[in-house]
Amino acid sequence: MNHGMSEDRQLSDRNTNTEPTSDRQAALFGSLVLVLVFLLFFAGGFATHRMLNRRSVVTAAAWPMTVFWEAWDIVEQDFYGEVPPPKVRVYGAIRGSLAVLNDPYTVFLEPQTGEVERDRLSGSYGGIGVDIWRDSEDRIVLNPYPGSPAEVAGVRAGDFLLAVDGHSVLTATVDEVRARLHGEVGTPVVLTLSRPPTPTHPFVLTIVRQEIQVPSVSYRLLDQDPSIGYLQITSFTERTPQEVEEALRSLLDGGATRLILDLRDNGGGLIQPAVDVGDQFLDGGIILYEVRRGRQERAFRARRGGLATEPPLVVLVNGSTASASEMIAGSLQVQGRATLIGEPTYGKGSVQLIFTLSDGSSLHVTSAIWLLPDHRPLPETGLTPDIRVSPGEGLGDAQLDRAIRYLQRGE
Amino acid sequence: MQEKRPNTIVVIALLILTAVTAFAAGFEASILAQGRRRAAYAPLPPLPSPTPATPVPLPSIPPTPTRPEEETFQIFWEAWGIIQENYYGDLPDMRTVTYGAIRGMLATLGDEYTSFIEPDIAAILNEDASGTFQGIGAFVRMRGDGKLEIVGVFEGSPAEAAGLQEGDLVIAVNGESIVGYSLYEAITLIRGPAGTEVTLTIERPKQGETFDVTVTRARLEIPMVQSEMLDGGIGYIRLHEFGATATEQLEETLRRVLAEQPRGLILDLRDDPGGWLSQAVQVADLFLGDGIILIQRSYEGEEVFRSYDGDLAEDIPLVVLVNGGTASASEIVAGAIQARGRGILIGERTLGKGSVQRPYRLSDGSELRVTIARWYTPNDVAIHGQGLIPDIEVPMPEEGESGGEDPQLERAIEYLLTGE
Repeated sequence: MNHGMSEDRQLSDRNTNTEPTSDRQAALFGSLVLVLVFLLFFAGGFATHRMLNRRSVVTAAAWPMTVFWEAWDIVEQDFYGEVPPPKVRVYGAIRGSLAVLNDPYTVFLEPQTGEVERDRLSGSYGGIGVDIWRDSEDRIVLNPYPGSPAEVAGVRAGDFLLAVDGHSVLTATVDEVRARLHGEVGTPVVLTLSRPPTPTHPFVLTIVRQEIQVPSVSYRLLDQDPSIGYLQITSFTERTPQEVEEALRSLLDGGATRLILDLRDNGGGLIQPAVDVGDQFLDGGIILYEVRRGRQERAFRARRGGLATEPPLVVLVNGSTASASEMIAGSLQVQGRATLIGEPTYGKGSVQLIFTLSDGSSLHVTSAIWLLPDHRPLPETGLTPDIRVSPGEGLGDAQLDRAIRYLQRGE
Repeated sequence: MQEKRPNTIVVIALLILTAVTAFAAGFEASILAQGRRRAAYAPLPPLPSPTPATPVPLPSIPPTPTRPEEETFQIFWEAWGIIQENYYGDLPDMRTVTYGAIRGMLATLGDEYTSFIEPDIAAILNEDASGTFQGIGAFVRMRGDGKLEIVGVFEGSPAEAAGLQEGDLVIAVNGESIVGYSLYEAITLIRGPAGTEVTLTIERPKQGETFDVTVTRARLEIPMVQSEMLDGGIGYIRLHEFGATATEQLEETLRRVLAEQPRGLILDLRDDPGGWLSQAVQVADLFLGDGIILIQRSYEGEEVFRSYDGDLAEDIPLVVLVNGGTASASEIVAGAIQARGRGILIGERTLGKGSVQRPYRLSDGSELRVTIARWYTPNDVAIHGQGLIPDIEVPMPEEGESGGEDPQLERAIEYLLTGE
């Protein structure tokens, strides 16, 4: 700004000192001066906003990372042992630098893990539809989803996976195997399998990937009381709102007059789908406030016209009810729309944005916190249920039983 | 003509108007430019597609790659650009971030002994490793509640002269509260040039009182050796660490102990975390005649370190006490004594650190300790990850159950007295 001011004075001086030889010249000169002044101040304003808005400056000059490169060179020259490739060390540097934030939710995921994570959150992916795990003898075991491309092609539950597209999976992690099986819809993938109990000679199946949808919602009218609709959400994916809408229509059409929303063990997921689910149960009002650094807080209001704003509602929660699920449970509780039954929730009141970096890795960044409709932050100890019930022992579900009783008797 | 010419006031007014408008427009343009960029990552709706957002350009231009690795390193800047733009909490200063990056990079080597030490701590560790320091002469530890506890006072030290006792808590230094400081931050404040004064605020829980004490700092030698003559004519020597003056101190102690003509010697290396390789070699040489102490292998080749005849304690019957805290330089000494048949080891399996680190001073005073070699016992056995197995294994009772007994020491005495 100072720079701009002094430039301006110079121009003005020159203007007053110069005797224009004609009006036309004077006008031309005047316009030129105005344009220059405009440009200068435009740039000044632009820069000022940038300066005010900048939190800390990352430049090569301010932060040359000299020490980092010194350490890098020493390791390359003198470390006695195997030095992993540069990319691995850079990923390590990113992880280490994020660790100083001391925030367990701000994390870096390498490309393959990041890809699997994105598939999980999108609720669908191109794949063959199998569950994968490693057994106690370190073999990769498959279990196809009913009706999935894998099952149709002949994969049977318990088959051992030896290779994908000719590459052995013996030393691969389960996430890596998953990433290799996922791919664009319509592309083929070649599995080399062996089948127990008498391990056969390896055989090969070629399977064309299709869109595999991972359901996040299950629902039913309860056997114990068919007037109660039970709706369980296991995580909030992009497809959850649509699934919830279908589930609610089906339950209400089937005669449900009371509802149980089961958010136990729901670790969260995407926020917008969670807000959309909240819309179905709330007739207006605030669902949550979101607070980002250096910006105005933002209120999320429930849209009117939800399918289930009237029926009595119990929300089941437990210690693994976290993040987006806590947000929904909390706003239903604060608004007096639902009774929470179960155990205190996890207590994660922050919001992460997920960014995909240019090499396919991804970065989860804690970017905001949210506040309950009464403007309180979520307590670190989580939400306290209105009726505290421990899961109980044995096969029964004491929390669900309590919810049924509550809906039947109103207490 | 006169009237038509714009007068000065009008010109100035016009200029001001233009300037203000331009400034506002520029300011607004910047908001728009940033707003557009942000809109792509606006949290709600947060993730429009499975690949939720495109990477953020850095707020300022990242360094132009001047070395091939920086090409690979661009992903780091990309990640930090996003963090700066979006992270909710406070951002650490960039020095801390750089240190974190170094630690993360080193972690990928899978070697716990290659480590990075920040300048303050490096300064203290280096002073300690030299064997002398300038301070008050107390052993301290940081308690769980963030208070610095004195766990021992050097004999003849300023701390002792000022009446400081074991169990005292230092809660302030020169009026500055140090509660919650790290151990090394606290030590940095207490140490200082010999002859200067430092005022400590001491809490003495035993008496429930708090008072100030002024101590004059001095140059002090870190006591690394402790000795005692045990019943039955057994000399007992404990070595705490292999600092730069370890050999000198041990030699002096040995001379004194041997003057009493003991029938056997116990060298206690339990919980001795090691120190300088050169000190390990010199200490081992005190007990060993001609022969090999260790073999070191690095990319520079193989180096054999030897011991020579003519030292103080090459013949006296010898037992070395070891345990899981016996590491590195201690294992070199114990390993050589065992492998050469010079004495036996009693106690528990040692830690198993068979690597050698070289310290590098970095430009900002921090230190990088890099594993540059592995070492092997005289009979060419690698102990890395294995440890030394004592000739006579004697477990130590759990703390609290021992009642002050030391069965390992007792076994060593018995061995020296009976020969078995």
